[in-house]
Amino acid sequence: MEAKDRSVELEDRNRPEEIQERKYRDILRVVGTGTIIFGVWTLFKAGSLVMIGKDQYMPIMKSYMIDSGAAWKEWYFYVFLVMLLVVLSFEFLFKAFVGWAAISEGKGKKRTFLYIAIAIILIWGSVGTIAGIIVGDAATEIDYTGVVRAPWETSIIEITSMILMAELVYAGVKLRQLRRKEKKALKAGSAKKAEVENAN
Amino acid sequence: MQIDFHYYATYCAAIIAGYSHEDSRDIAYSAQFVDCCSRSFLSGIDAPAHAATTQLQLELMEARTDIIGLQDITRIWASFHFLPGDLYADPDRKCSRVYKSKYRLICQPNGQLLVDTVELAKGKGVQAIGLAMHVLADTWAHRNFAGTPSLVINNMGKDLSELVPCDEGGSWKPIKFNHNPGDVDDPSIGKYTSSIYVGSENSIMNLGHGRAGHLPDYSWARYRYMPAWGDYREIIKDNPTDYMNAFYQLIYALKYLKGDISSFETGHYDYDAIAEYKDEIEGMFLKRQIDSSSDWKSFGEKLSGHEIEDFDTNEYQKEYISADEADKDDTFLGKFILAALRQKSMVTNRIFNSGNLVAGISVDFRSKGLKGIKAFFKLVTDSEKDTEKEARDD
Repeated sequence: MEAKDRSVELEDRNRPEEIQERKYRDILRVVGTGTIIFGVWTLFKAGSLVMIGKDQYMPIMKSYMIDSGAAWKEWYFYVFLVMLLVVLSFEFLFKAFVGWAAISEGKGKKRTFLYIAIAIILIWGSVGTIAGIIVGDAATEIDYTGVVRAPWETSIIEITSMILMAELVYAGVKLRQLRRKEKKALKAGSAKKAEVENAN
Repeated sequence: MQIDFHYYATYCAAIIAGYSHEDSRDIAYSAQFVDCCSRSFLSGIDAPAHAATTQLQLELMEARTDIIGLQDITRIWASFHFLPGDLYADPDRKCSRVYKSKYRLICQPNGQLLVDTVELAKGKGVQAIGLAMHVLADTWAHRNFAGTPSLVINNMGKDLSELVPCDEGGSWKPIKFNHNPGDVDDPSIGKYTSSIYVGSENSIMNLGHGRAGHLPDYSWARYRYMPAWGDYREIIKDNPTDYMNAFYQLIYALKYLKGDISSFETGHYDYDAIAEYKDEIEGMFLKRQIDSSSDWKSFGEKLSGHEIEDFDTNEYQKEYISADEADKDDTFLGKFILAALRQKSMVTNRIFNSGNLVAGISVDFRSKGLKGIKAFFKLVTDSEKDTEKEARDD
């Protein structure tokens, strides 16, 4: 039986570059899914903000503004809430896009560098949040995510999100490097072939 | 493997190896019986439950997956269906001790344990021979999987494709399993079932080749996949070639057990024995059908000139139940039970002695005294009988 033919194909599909490519695509699929889940977490935060925002946050905002000498009107809170929801929506959309693009690239489709660039920006966002928690400024009592006095929980989530993004960026970049290397090798191979044919 | 190979093909191999129709039938019956001898069956005939060579789906659903339960499951599946290829293998990368112990249970053909299995059956009757042939055959079909519930060993990547024959030779088609256990596979439309993905390391769903469904049991299947232990390497499982090698090796092993060959060595196959039937056998292995029993049955009847009775799990029940306690070991099922206890004891002992606790602790009765599972005391009395017999013969 023709087992020998299959062995040749096997060697071709198990070159170190092929194995690496499979590994990075698998990483992209997994972290892409994780990124989307973190995006859903953002939606959850937005939802909880809407549900309990007025009772929990309005008094804090009111006392903060009065203490700092600013005027206070109730509709200020609603403007703030809408701005917060807009920011959270953008965060969700960015994460969803990054996750979808990573999964798509993990499945073999080609994607532009855009999702990796956005992932890098999201990493900076997480770094900023964690820095704010470490500094312990009163201004971060309500940060842009609307989380109040939950520094440990926020830190854990932000660090996890950061690691996820970092892994995504790493896998995306490595995959591109592999593809470039393969393209160069193919070009060199076909140039050599043409040279040999010309010589003959 | 399924009944088509374990029963009918084993019968054919035994006939080709020179056994009589009756012996071939008993060998084939015992080979297939390994897939039927569950705890439920044994409790129905009041036989030792520890002689179970398989676990039914319902038994597996109720099986514990704590450390004791896992050891119990591993003892059965590693001893009879997923014989480890190399108990001292080392993975390519750094890993934990737990991972290494499961990695070392990966089933591969032509391992030292296979030699031990075949030699253990020598001179122990047709039931032991049949049991050993089942184990041998499964080392080919079930290779690359381990007989212990383990996600990190037995899981497969999502990119699984089958080589489907076509006019240009063959084309790779992706396989998408469905997880309805009541569904039947249909190779003509590429419909296959497998166990559902469960993220827990020790889930029953991750036992053996459950994640690959029945593909390893189809002699015609050729597929490409990434095993979880392979570190993103792809493997091509060429079942027709593996089944052919299993058949050749079966004949070689049977000839050794008959006494025609002085020793059994791995990597040896009796190619000459089936030279005149090669095309017919290859045809049966390549035919895309769920069950090729009828083809093998016709072939076997042509070889032997006798009708092959259909397999009946309950054929020898009455004999065993009605026998006196002292005579039970001399019945057909009694001899099979002894063979099963011997095999399970040997494999568990080898795994334990390699420093691997996945199959639990193994106690040598002769040196440590009668401690442990009572059912295995039979082996001590049985070996004492053998020693007496040898002394008398001398």
